[in-house]
Amino acid sequence: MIWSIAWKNVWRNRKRSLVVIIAVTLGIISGTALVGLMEGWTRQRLDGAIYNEVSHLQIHNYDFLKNEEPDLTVKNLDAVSASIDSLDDVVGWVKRTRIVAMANTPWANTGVILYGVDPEREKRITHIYKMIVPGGGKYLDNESRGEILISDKTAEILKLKQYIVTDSIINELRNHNVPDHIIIKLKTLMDKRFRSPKDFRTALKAPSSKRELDRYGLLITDMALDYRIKSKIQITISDKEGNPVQGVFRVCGIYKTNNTGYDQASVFVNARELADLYGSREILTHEIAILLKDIGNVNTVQKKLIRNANGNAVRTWRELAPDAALMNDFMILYYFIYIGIIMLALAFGIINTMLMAILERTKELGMLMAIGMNRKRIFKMIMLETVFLTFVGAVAGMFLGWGIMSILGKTGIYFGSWGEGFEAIGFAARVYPIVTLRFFAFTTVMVIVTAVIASLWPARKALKLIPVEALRTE
Amino acid sequence: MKDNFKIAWRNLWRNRRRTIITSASVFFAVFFAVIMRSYQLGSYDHMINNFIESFTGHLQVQNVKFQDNPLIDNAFGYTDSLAKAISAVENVVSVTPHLESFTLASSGSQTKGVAVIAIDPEKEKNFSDPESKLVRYRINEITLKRLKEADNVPDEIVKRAGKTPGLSFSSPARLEQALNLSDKEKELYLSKILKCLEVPNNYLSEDDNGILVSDRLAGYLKVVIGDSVILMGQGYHGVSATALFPVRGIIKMPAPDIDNKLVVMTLPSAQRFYGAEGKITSLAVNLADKSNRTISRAKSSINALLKDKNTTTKTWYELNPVLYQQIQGDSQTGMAMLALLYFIIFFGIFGTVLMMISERKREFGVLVAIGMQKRKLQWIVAIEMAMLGVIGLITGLLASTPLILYYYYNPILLKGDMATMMEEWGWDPVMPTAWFGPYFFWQALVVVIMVILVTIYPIRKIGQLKEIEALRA
Repeated sequence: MIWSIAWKNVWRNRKRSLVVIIAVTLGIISGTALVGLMEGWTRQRLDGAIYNEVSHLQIHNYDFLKNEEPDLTVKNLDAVSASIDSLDDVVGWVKRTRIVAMANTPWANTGVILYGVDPEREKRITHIYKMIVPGGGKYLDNESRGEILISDKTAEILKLKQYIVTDSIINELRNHNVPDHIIIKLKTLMDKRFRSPKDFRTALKAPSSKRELDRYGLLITDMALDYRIKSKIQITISDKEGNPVQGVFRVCGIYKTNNTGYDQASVFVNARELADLYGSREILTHEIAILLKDIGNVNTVQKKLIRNANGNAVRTWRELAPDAALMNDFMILYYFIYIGIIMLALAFGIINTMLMAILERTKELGMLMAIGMNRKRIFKMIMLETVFLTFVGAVAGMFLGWGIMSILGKTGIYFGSWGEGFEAIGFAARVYPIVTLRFFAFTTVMVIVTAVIASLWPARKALKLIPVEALRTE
Repeated sequence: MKDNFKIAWRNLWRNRRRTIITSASVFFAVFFAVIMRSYQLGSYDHMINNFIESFTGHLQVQNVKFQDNPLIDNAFGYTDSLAKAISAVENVVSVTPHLESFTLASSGSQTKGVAVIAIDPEKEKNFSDPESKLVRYRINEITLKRLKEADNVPDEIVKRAGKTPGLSFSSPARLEQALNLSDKEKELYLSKILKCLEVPNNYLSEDDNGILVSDRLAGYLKVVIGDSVILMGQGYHGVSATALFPVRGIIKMPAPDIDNKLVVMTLPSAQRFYGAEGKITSLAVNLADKSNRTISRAKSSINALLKDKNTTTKTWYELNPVLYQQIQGDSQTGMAMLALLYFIIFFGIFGTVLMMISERKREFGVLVAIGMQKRKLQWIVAIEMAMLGVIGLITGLLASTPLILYYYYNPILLKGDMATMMEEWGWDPVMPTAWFGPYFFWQALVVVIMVILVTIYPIRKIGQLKEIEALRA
């Protein structure tokens, strides 16, 4: 009874109620969008950290963590391997060699971390093999000799990216509806090599106007990009005796993850070949990475492994990628901040509207009291009215927000000009927002709590009415 | 006109509760917006001060090719007269020459690629100040033993220190933090602890042929003060550069990836080593203020001074596009949040106005019927709206002022995981507020726009008012 009265009361002054409802709807839509974006980002960072970089658990020699010296390999490798094999929720695990090296090309040099891996096993643990850029060759394999996999960023530093306009690129551009007068201008640049995007853009600038450049510059630069696959890279490490040795590898592929910091440092070769270069018969194991079936078991598995880990450090993804872990833990805080601020802002409007509704109905409330409706029921009625008013907007907002976010979750949102900055600290430039059930549950609770709190003042106002006086008001 | 204000003011207080709630919503929006913006801008400012002023400089003179190709071959000739000429440019505070390159460092059987920065030890004190980063205190076996043997330092503290062997500190403050000393313990034992944990360290002298090595790199190379390190690399125009350098001091850099690979030496010795007499790779210039206008003005005046066609001046945001984008990205997200907040508040106010109009329809009808001009009535309502906004705005700004002032002088120091993470990214874990600037007055503009938008509705309603109908309402 009270419920249906409260519901009908909401719709008595339709215009006024709609203003509040629309405000709540828009507020919740924006809240959903903001949180969806944050959540998408966090999830992508987390997935990136686990499936590209650190897996769920890693084992190193304790001393290796202090100084990455090549002879500090994982201790008691056989015992450790056996204890990992005895675990039952492992998807897979790999051993890696990890050596700090200098990489040179005739044009540039840089310091890198060289990983010696077993490509076939590695594919089961990390998704780097899926991250090969278009036109960027292939992942390492167990058969080919002398190959090296580097990132887009490393290729850029080592000047292995070039820009060149060829006939096939001109044809491609035609297919993308680039107008003929621009293509004619491009032909002046035919078959010239440019070693940096900047040089290429400068060269483009000469024949074309600024407007043309804004419109087609990015497309042309993308198309003209050519990785110098099969180029040689000279790698310098210090060998078993501590003398610098050089090895020459050919680039077999270029990968790119969302984390430029990781990309810049990590370079992969076959473990066997790295061992040969280092001058050791055995393959060195500095790092063991383990991927579990369920991320929730990380701590129990860590405890099990620590028991047989003599002298090795067993660390979880939380310690290996603290930024991702922190982001993940902060998610609930973001819910609070975003939804909290939005609800607080909405509360003012809700209180105002409800107060107005009470003042307008002074006489009616007096009448209800006079004919015997008790205070508890009046209080309940007003509270329910506030909750309904807010909740209608909230449900509409959640529904619409969910709809918008599911569409954007498929297409992704591209943060073009800031993307590079985000990627430098490990966050994707293209975000796929996610809305979770957890978030909707949280929002529902927050909405109800806000509505109840917002109803206190108007309800108290109603309870203070004295029936006889209230009846006399106009 | 005065009467209009008086009437509007009285009208506002006829329904006190509504006025208070509506202004309170504006107050909340303004207060929150100012505080949030102040923190955001303050952190960027701090980040720029911290990072730019001690690593890149607001402006840098470089060879045109250096940014894309940071090789020693892209160095340029540097004379004291150039430095003097640049110092004389308006707003220039410091001019600091650097010679940067990448070489291999080797000691015993350890070899590693390192970043070498050659500096002028005196001038550098006003820039990155490596002297303040020298390791002063260290927890290792020797110092722990000293601490144990020292009388009247409680075992509890010795145990705490023993838990974290290998840590090093460049200031007493950091040491205090790591040992978690209470105020009382600080007072009683700090000087004693400092004395026990102190390790000798030296800075570079003007024409020193020695080097400073970063803490983690020293650990990797297993060198201590007094040992020597071999540097091998490529010098200017391909000459081979190999030499032995004595380690004068150990410095601790907060960011691990810099701490892993930094070697600092003096300019003259680096120029000899690389065969690059009289050359440097960059000249960092700090300015008195970092507004875009000052920076671009200083940039063009410095460019005019450069005689070498191959050199140019670059701003910090051209040199660190990634940092600039991060700041921009974060700033835009914050602004989007504020826009949303104002938007919601706007709806709240609009709802109030809607109610007010329907409630006062009859009153308006009476007033117009007895001969009040509609224009005057519109004026009064507009003034009421403006007052609502202004009350919220002014109280909001006033309430935020003490907070901003307090946290400007006593910035929040982040602790725990968050702090470690920020340090690893190369940022100082401090969050100060920004001094009152345009952001403060922007809120006023937003409120004004809101008030104008919200006033359109009642003004139109009054314009369309039919007295007869209104009287019957």
